[in-house]
Amino acid sequence: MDKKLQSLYQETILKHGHDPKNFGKPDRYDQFAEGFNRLCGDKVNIYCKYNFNLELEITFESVSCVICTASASLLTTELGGSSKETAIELIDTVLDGLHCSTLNQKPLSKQLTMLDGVKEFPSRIQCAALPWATTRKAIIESKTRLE
Amino acid sequence: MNKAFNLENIREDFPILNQEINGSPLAYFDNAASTQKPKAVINAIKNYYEQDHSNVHRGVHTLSVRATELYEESRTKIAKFINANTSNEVVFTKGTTESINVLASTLSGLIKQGDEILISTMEHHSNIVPWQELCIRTGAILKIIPINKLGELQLDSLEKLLSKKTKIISVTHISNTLGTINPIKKIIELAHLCDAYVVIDGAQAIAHTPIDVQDLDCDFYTFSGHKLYGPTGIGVLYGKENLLNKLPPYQFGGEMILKVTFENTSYNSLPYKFEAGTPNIAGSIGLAVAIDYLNSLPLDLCHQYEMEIHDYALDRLKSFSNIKLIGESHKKSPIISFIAKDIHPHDVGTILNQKGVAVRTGHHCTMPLMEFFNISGTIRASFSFYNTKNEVEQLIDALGVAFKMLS
Repeated sequence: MDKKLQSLYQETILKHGHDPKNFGKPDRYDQFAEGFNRLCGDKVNIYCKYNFNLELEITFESVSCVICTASASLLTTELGGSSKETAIELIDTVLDGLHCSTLNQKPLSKQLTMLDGVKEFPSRIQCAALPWATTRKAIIESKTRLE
Repeated sequence: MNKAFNLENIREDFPILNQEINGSPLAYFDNAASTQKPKAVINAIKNYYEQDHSNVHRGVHTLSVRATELYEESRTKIAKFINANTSNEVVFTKGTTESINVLASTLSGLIKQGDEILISTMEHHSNIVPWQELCIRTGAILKIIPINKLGELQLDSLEKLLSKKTKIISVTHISNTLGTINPIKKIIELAHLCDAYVVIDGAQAIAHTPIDVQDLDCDFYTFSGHKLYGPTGIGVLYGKENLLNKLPPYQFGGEMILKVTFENTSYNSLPYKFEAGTPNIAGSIGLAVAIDYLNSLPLDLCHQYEMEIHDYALDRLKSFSNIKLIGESHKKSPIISFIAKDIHPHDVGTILNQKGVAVRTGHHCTMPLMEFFNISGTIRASFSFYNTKNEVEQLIDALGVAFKMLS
C-alpha cells in the first residue's frame, strides 16, 4: 500500500471518519457557525455550548469526506472542556500547522498530529482545516448568550 | 477515401499523456473539465510568439498585418466549423462563462419586469448565476425546466412553462455532470413559437458532436476553446448577425469604436463591437489550429470511439455492487458520474490520483443538480478519443483499492 495514502488514511482517521464523536445538533447551544468547502461543496455545522465553568462542549454536523469528518471529530474531543481562550490558541496552532505543513512540529496530542498526512495532498488541507476554521468563526464571530 | 482511426498515432500527438503520476501511467479522465492539447496547438502558439506577434487591427507594419491575418483566419475557420452564416457572427471571448455573461448583460435591455427566463435543473453555475443577476436587475422571473430521475430534461414541462412572457431560454446542449444530450433543436423550435431567444451552452457539446448553428436555428451558441483541445482563455459567442447588431456593446474602449470625440462615440461593426481591448490573439490562433487538427482526424470515428470507451467503462463499473450511477439518460455523451455507498467522492479522487487516474470529484459547478439528486457530489470520469481500454482497467483497479481502503 502507498505510504502517503497510509499516512493520510491512518486507522485513527478512518475510525473518526466513519464513526465520529460528538456528531449531531444539540437541543441548545450558545454559538454556531457553518463552514463550506468551496472546492467540493462539503458543509460543516459547529455548535458550541458553555457549562457553568465556561468550559466548551462542541458538537458538529457535516456532509463531508473522511478527512473533514475525522478532523471535526478530533476537534470536538480535543476542545471539549477548554476555555474559550485556550480553544482559540489550540485552533490557531492547528490551522498554522496545517497550512504550513508543520503540524508534527507543534506541541499537540498524538491523535491531532495524525492529521499531518494531508501535507502530501495540498488539495486536502482545506478538508482538515474546515472544522477548525469554522469553530474559530463560531467562537469569535457569533454572539453568545453569556456575554 | 475515409480516414482511419489510429489510437496510437493520436496518443503520440498529445505529449502530456506520456507521463507517470505517482509512479503509475497517467490515465486522464477529466476531459469534461479540460481537454489536453495536441502538439500542433502547442507549436502554433510558440511559433506565433516567436515569429508573428504584434497587436491586431492597429499597425501598417508587417508583424501587425500578419497577426491580424492569423487572427481573422482563425475567426473564419471557427465560423466554418460551426457553420455560421458569416464570420461576423463569431465573437471571441474568454470562454463559455464570459459568452453567457455578455448575453445576460446585453440582453437585459430587452427584458422588463415580469418577463420570464427559462433555464434547466442541470445547468452549470455559469448558466444560472448570470441569469439570476439579470432577473435582479430587471425584475424578470427565473423559471426552471425540470428533469426526471434519469437526468433527462422534461420537454412536456417546458411546453407548459413557455408563454408569451418567456423572453429567453438558456440551456446546456450536453450536461457536464450527467452527460445528458438535450434535444436542443426541439427546444429551439418550441421557443421560437413564443418569440423567445435561445442561448445554448455548448461547452461540453462542442467536443463531442458536430455543431451546425444554422441547422439548429439557435440565436446564440457559446463554447470554450480549452474543451475543444485548444488553449485556455479563448472562447466563442456565436450570435445571429441581426441579433448581435441589435445588442449594445458589452465593454467599452479600444477596438470596439469607430470614432471617438469628447462629445460622442460611435461603435465599430460586428464582431469588433463586442471585442474591446487587445484580444487573446495567440488563443484564437491556437483554437483554430485545434480545429484544423480535429478536421485532420476522422472526427465521426473519434466520437464513435469515445462512446465505445464510455460503454466499456460503464460495463466494467457494474462489477462494483456499491456504485450508483447519476445520470442515465437514453441519449448520452462520454461522461459517467457515479457515487459509492457510504464513501465520499473526494476521498476516492485522492486515492485514484495516487494510482495515476485523474477524475473530477465534487459538485461539478452544478449545486442545484446535486440538490435534485440529494447528494453532495459525484465521481466523474469523462472520456476523450485518446483514452484507452487499458486506462479504464486502471480506473477499475484503482477504484477497487479505494473502496477497500475506505470501507
